[in-house]
Amino acid sequence: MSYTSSQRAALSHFMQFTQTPERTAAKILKANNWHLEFALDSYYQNPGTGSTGGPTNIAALHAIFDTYRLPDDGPDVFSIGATMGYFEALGLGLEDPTVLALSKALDSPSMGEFTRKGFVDGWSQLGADTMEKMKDKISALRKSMESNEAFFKEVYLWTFNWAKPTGQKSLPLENAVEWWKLLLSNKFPDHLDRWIEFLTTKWNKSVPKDTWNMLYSFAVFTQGDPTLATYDEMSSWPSVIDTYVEFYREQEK
Amino acid sequence: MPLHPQTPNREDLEQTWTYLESGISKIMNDLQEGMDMKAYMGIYTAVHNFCTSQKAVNSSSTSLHHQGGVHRGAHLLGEDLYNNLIHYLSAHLAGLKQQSTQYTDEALLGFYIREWDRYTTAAKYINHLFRYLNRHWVKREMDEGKKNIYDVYTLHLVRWKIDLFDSVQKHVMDGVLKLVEKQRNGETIETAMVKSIVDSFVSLGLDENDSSKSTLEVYREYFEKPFLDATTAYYQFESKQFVAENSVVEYMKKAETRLSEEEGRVHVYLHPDIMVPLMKTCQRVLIQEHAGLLRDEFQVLLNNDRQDDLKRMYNLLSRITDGLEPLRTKFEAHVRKAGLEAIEKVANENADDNLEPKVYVDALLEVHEKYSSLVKIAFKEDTEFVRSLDNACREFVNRNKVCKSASSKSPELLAKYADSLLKKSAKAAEEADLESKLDSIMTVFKYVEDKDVFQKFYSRMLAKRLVHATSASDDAETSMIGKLKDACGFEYTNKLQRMFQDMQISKDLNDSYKEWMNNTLDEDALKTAVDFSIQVLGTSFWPLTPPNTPFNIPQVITKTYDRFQTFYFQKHSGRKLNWLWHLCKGDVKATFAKSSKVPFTFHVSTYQMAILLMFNDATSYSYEEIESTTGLSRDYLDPSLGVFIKAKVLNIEPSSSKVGPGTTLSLNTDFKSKKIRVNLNMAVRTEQKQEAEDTHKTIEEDRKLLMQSAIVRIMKSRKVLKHVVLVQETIAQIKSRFTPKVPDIKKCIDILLEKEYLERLDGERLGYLA
Repeated sequence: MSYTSSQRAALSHFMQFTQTPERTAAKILKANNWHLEFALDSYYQNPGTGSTGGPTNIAALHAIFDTYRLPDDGPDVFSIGATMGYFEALGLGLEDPTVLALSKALDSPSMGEFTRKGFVDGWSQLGADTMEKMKDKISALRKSMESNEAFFKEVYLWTFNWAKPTGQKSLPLENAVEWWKLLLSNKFPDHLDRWIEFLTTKWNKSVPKDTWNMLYSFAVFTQGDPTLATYDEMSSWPSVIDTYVEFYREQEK
Repeated sequence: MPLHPQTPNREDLEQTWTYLESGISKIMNDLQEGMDMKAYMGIYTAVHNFCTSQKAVNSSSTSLHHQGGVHRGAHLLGEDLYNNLIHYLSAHLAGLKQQSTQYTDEALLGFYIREWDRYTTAAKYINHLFRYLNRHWVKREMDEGKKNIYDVYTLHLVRWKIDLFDSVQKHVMDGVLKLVEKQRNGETIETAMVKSIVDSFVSLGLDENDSSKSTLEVYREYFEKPFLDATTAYYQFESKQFVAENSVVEYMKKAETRLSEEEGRVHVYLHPDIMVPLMKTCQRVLIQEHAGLLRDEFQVLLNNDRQDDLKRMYNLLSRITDGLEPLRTKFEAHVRKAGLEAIEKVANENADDNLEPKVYVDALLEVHEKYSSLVKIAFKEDTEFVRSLDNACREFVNRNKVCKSASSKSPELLAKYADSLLKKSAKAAEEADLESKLDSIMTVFKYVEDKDVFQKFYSRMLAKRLVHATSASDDAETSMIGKLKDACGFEYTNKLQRMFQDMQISKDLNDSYKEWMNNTLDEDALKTAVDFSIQVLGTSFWPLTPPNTPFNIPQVITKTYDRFQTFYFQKHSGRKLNWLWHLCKGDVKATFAKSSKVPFTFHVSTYQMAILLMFNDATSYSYEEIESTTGLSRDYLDPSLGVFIKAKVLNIEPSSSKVGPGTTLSLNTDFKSKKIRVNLNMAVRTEQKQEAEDTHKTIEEDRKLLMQSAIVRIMKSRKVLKHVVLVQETIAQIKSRFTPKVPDIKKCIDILLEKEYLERLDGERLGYLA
């Protein structure tokens, strides 16, 4: 099969990026009209497509899982301690939002925890069965978090249920604040600090799902209108955001 | 007998015409001398003969085309006669035209009318004489669609119009207008003259397409138009001058008179058709052109309550389009201001807490009364003015100085006023009077936005009236609830009605309890039983709260307490009884006083009873002892004791100290009272205030629930709705109870999202989750 020079460039770029075999990379690129960015998007949104490169070594994944599982943990779970060790080995810092993308991909039931099933299924979906491949996948996930808005939004919305304490309907404010800092410092640059100030000094309530979800939309809204000149209280924003805007306007006066 | 030429040869036109002309001329000029039958018949026959003269000739030559022949012949000969007649008429009218030049003004009118009458009378006769021509030749010509052929009578009118009218009408109209001006200036004129002219002008209007019909075209152009122009000029001049020299009120009177004069003019001597344009003209000149001036005066008239002049102004300005609009706005502002000022006045005269509900409501009513009667009398209950009045009242009822702290103050005071009317009191109102006062409450109620607040307070006070049996009249209570039901629907008064039902049920319950006691207790027990009656009230209908103090039920009534519970639970198993001790009361007989042999009867609350009963065992207790025996919290204990000390039933040690720990209370054996029955059961003031606060608090809670249930109801039926629409519909549903604020609705939506009754969909939409 022969490619044009630009196709070849895209191909090598894609393979380098995603660590997929050439056949898979070519297939995905072709499906996206050789548009590199679209192809990457579609690859990361449907990580399963990567596994067509060849069967992942399931036994190897179980072995890795057992390597990092701590003796005190149950046979099929990572406790927080195991997770920390595993992340460390991968060079993944806890201050990295990619943790969320990975947790989602490995179907982590709650913060810092993984199950054997989620781990094995997730990694084989992603198509990695060695620590090296895992590292590559993680950097690919990181790229997606930065450049793929739809992917980011999915991870953001997913985070709420994952991060909230089991059995509760809402996320304690202090936790929410940490997650926002982690996730939104780039997306919500003009307002994040003040939003947190507002919540911690005026609002002082835990964060329900709707507020969490709508804050993403609000962050996107502020990117287009940083001074909130066109913000309309009559539209469907939750009242906490209405109140924030009031607070903001009062301060800006 | 005058000489008449022989009936002419039927086939000789010249001879026939000469014969006819002399006859016509006689009819035209000397009709008053009369015409004998013979001459008349002669002319008639001559016309007939002439028109039919060729019939014989034709019919003998070709019998096959008999009909066609007649046509042709009659056609030819009729035309000759017709043309000759035209010549004759033109000549006659030319003579009249010549004569008319020697007349002007009224004389000209006289001349015109005289000649017109003569001419039209003659025309009728001549028309009759020429009937044969009309029926055959003229008819056929017209059927064939020939233009400018008329029946003989119409021909007269046409000729008059062409040969005389067109040149004299201007002079005639000058005469008419001068005459009317004279009348407008106050002189008497012969109106019949004008009327005749009008009739003449109207007669000259002929439909081009159908001469048997008349139109008003000629009249409109030659009479109406100059008449309206002259009217405009006259009144423009007059009104300008009048306004310069007189007040606006005087001017309005003048304009009113002028308008009715003009209307009368139409009835007396003008054509009814002119009514609309004439009135329009007068209204434009007399009202429209001075509308600004009138409107400027409106505020002055309002300020001075000049009802008659306001009525006059309304009547005038209502005649022109959009004449009233600026007045409505001014009126609304004026009423609002009047309302606000009235309330400010009573608010300043009375301290906030001391404002009598009656004073407040009366102030509201007075303003409403005043301006609603103005609307009725001066503004003919014009719907727009009624709306302005309503808008203004709604404003000052809900937002005024008294309501500044909370808009719910108005309904609260209104409900309290209702309570004062419905409660037993020394100055109870007469029944009819009461009914009208209740109606006036409804007048204010209509404007109250927070109807839910009224409901809350009303039901609380109704509960009190019922529980304490202080309601003045069952009829009045029922009537008031009926009125509220009419205004707000069944749901609004449902709980109120259930309260009445509970009262009835309680009555029956007491009866059956007595029966039960008689059946179950032995004689001794019956003898020592305390007199007891009870009301059992449904928790969900009655706005009553359980007592917020612990209480040790005094020994004396525990038996009764247990006995009733036994009875009640036998009857209704599974129910729960909450004893509202703070609402209970009783009479105790006191024999401790040395001054009286007859025992006093003290009317006391249950708490006070518990205190007094202690003094059966000793005559003096420390505050702490009383506190621990009764179990009452100090909020209740202190005021209860306070009443006893004030009434000198108990003495306090050290004397004149405040009730509290460390004091000792002893029975005052020197107690004196003029009355045997002493009411010691006084409501505690702090309690009342607390209650009002509680009421306001529950209102907030209730509102949230009301909004949420409205939202759920709407979403349940609509499934998916845009956020904005949902907010609007919620407002629409709730408006009758109170005016919800959008942020509050949004908060409720947030709550429902959280509770997962609703979900967010894309594009600002919300979905209902079953």
